[in-house]
Amino acid sequence: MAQTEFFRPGNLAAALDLLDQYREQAVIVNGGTDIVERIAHGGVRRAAIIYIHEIPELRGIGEGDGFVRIGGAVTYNDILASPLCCQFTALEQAVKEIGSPSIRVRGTPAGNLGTAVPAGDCCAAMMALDAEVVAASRQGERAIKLADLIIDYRRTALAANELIREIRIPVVPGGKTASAFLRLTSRKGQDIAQASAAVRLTLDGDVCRHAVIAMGSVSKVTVRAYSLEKAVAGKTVADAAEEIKAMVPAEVALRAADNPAFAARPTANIERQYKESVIGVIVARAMMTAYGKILAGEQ
Amino acid sequence: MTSDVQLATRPADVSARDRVDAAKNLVVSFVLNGKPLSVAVAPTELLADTLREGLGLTGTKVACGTGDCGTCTAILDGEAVRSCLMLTAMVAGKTVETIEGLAGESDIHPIQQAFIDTGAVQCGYCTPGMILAAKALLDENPKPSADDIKEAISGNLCRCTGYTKIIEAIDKVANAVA
Ligand SMILES: Cc1cc2nc3c(=O)[nH]c(=O)nc-3n(C[C@H](O)[C@H](O)[C@H](O)COP(=O)(O)OP(=O)(O)OC[C@H]3O[C@@H](n4cnc5c(N)ncnc54)[C@H](O)[C@@H]3O)c2cc1C
Ligand code: FES
Ligand code: FES
Repeated sequence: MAQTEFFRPGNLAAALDLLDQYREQAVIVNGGTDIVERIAHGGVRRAAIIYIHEIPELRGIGEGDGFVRIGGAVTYNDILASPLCCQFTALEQAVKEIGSPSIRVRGTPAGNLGTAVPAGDCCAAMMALDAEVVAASRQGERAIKLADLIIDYRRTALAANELIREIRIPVVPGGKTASAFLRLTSRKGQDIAQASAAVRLTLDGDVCRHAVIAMGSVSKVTVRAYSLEKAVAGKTVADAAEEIKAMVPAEVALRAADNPAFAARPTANIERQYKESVIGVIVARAMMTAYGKILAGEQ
Repeated sequence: MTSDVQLATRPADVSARDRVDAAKNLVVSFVLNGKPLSVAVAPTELLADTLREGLGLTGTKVACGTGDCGTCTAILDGEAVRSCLMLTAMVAGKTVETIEGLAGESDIHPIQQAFIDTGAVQCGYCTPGMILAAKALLDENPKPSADDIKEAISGNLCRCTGYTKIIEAIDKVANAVA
């Protein structure tokens, strides 16, 4: 392969031109907290490194058409400093837990989605918030829901010439809706999730009118748990939490078999049993936390 | 060597030397420890390698190379970052500080002095990263709480001190600088 070239396009159009030119031979670098290691150590070798982190059009956070719009190069620290983003409790809770300050100052939610590993905390939080990405290429733009974006372990539905221009989170009128994210790690600081869950709950009196449930680190992709969402709709929150604890382990057992994170490890069976025994409680707790937020009058 | 247990290894591994010896077809200009500088690098070269191998600034350590330990900490435009997760090409036009930039002609930096006075240095391997993480914190927040200090160094591992003395040292500087 020819020598690698490093490009720092000054605006979005220039970045899309480069992507269109190099396609599979290009790698996008954003904050670099995932991909730089792979580039430097030879795991990813491409003709073109396209560094998008400082493109002004990708650095904004705004609101419009019923969405909060988070640019494709917005960092975790930008999110934590943004009142618009902090209305989404699940997102705020996930971002606060990611890595360490040096990771959050560079790392981006778009990069978390781009990496598409099952332990991606933003993947789970944003999936429960019913987010979508706007994928841009020279040919135009399309919106992709997160459940359709993450299609396999480390694989997204983005075409080789597309990048995530922004992530959109729908704003749900407050009062009866709240969200929460919870993860279990082996250590307190700087560790990835053994199991995680994010829930957005909408109440009708004491009854779950609608819940969006996402689970991380239990399958090869972040899981949107549609079956659970159906099962809890119309139940009281207390009954829903019990239902979740009963149903989730079996759901996870079904999916664990194709989790590549297990395949290579001699402890795979123990890890599976562990995940199966904790994940129900994690999901139920995330739901109860969201419930608590609604009761406390927060969004 | 063989082993029954396959440890997770990187898909491919290239030594720091190999990376630095790759064709240097890119000139990157930035400000390093207060002085403007242009350096020829390979497009895939890590900032940690440019600093250590290219410029001989070995105060920056590389222990894990995966962003986990913080020994490679550098300050980029005022923020503590991992130089093992940055390509040198990414710092073009920026300001970078390493541990070598802290001491003056005749004095060491107050944070360095506090680490010595408090006994916050044992083997010393984590020390440059700890001091730079502390500096980034204190430059932005001169009066941090104990929790702020713990948070600021939460990505920096120390295998010797148990952290107590390090936190004390940083607190000492914060309280001395009125
Ligand atoms: C020490 C350490 C701790 C970590 N802890 C956590 C943790 O607790 N939880 C967690 O979820 N993650 C964690 N991570 C992983 C990482 O920080 C996140 O996944 C981060 O969000 C990646 O963002 P980035 O901007 O650095 O991505 P990059 O490394 O720049 O890119 C990641 C991938 O996404 C692609 N990409 C980036 N931006 C775009 C875009 N706009 N459009 C299309 N593709 C794009 C890139 O091509 C690449 O494939 C940790 C990493 C480290 C090193
Ligand atoms: S060497 Fe960079 S974080 Fe460990
Ligand atoms: S003093 Fe030895 S690692 Fe910190």
